[in-house]
Amino acid sequence: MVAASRFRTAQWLQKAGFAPQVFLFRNLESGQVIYSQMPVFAQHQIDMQFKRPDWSNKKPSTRRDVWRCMAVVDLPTYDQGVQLYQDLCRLRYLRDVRETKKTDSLRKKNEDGHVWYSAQYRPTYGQEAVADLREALAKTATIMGQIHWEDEWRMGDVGKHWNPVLPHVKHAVIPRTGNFAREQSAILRALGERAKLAFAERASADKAIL
Amino acid sequence: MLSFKRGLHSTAVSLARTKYTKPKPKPKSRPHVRPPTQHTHHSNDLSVTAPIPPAAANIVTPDDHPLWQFFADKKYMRKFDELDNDSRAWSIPELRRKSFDDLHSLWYTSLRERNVLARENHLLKNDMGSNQDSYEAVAEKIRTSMWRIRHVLSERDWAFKKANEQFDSHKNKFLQEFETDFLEAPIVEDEECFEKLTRLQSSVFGISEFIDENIVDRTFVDGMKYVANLKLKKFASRSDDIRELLEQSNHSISDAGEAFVVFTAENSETAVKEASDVVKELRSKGNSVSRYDELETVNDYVKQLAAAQVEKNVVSGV
Repeated sequence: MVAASRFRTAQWLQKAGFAPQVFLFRNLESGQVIYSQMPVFAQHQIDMQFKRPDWSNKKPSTRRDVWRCMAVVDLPTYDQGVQLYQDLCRLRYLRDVRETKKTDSLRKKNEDGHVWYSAQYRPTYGQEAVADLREALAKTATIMGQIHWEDEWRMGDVGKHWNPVLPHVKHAVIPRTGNFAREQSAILRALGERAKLAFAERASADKAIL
Repeated sequence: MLSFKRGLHSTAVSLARTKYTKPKPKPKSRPHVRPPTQHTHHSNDLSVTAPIPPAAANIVTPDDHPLWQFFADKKYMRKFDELDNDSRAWSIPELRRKSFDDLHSLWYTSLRERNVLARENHLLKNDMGSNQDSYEAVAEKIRTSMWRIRHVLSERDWAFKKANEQFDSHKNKFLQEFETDFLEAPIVEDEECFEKLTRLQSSVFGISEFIDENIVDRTFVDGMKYVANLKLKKFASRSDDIRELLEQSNHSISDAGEAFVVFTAENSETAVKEASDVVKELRSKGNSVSRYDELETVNDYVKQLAAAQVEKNVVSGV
């Protein structure tokens, strides 16, 4: 069984050597987004996060070449990381199952009244993931946190969309040099190591205060 | 053997425990229960919000972005009056007066300008649907300059080839004359003579004074032997050892290994003497390079020498 093939608790993640992070992967072909607790994903996440597949929101495949990391969220504690993941999944459920009409009303449409697309690509999924990330972070009651974006373009207007809601969340950009498909896992691992180090430092500082 | 208790279809219902039967005993207290490992739950006040569109304004294009080379002064498009409308193409006589480096840089300047013009022309024709030819007219002038540059370079190439063909017939005579002059020059003019020799080896045999730039072929090896012999003969009149070596080898050395040793020695009497000692040692050991393996062997020597020089530079921190 691979690590990503089921839901993992905060304790499990810490013990297995993962950092308190949440990962967003986007599909290059369809623009769909997967949330994951670790720098990889499995069929489990796809099954859990695409509850109502239809012709415009097909269940994507696990082909590794069509998925790229869209953002990595660093959080202060493992519990907050798990809760953020749960919130993101819940928001996906709300969009797909409970509040489809509201979701649909917010989407850009083409002249036929369908979600706007070009070939198989629907940009709205990525944009909804960014909105959901903001909503989930706001509700996770986290003060600190850092989002490592794949590029500046995707995070949207920081002054307009992020700072009014989440003034303390820091935004960083993963360096583009060397961030191609083959080397991505190495970059994610390095980010994870850094986040673990930061977590350990915070924990030791907290101990010293106590 | 399994034992089945047989009964009617109503037996299970009648025997089922109901609120009137005796209650189940309370389970025993378990002192060592593992606490749940999962504490968190998704928030219940989540709401669906409008998608956040990406922002192109976040992207800052660096000034040294390579695609800027396709823009003039970072402008989307130049106006017609900003173009160089009054210019003309370079003429062939003008270009003939220019050095290779000048022509080379002029070629690339033209190429870049044509890229810019082609981009602008494409926008004009396809995006704006215009039928103006202003950009094309300038590009055409530049294209004329470019073929003329090629023409001039080709002229030079032919001139060089023809001169080489003619030189082949005089080559031996020329080298003989050079040898006589070289050997007859007094000691005071040594430095000048060796500078001449360096120029000769590069122009006639194509041997660069920087050892790592050379490509080893038949001409290189012949040139190397010629230069080595000249060096030996030059210092033979001043040192008995060198004269002895020359006499032993019939007044010219033909072994590539020996020639390489003398060729790479400094242009001084002591250095050449040391080289001649090395040659003698090689002979006493019976080391010689077959004429069939000359090119490969000399190639290896050149590579080793170049590597040694690089190492030396690194060590001395150059």
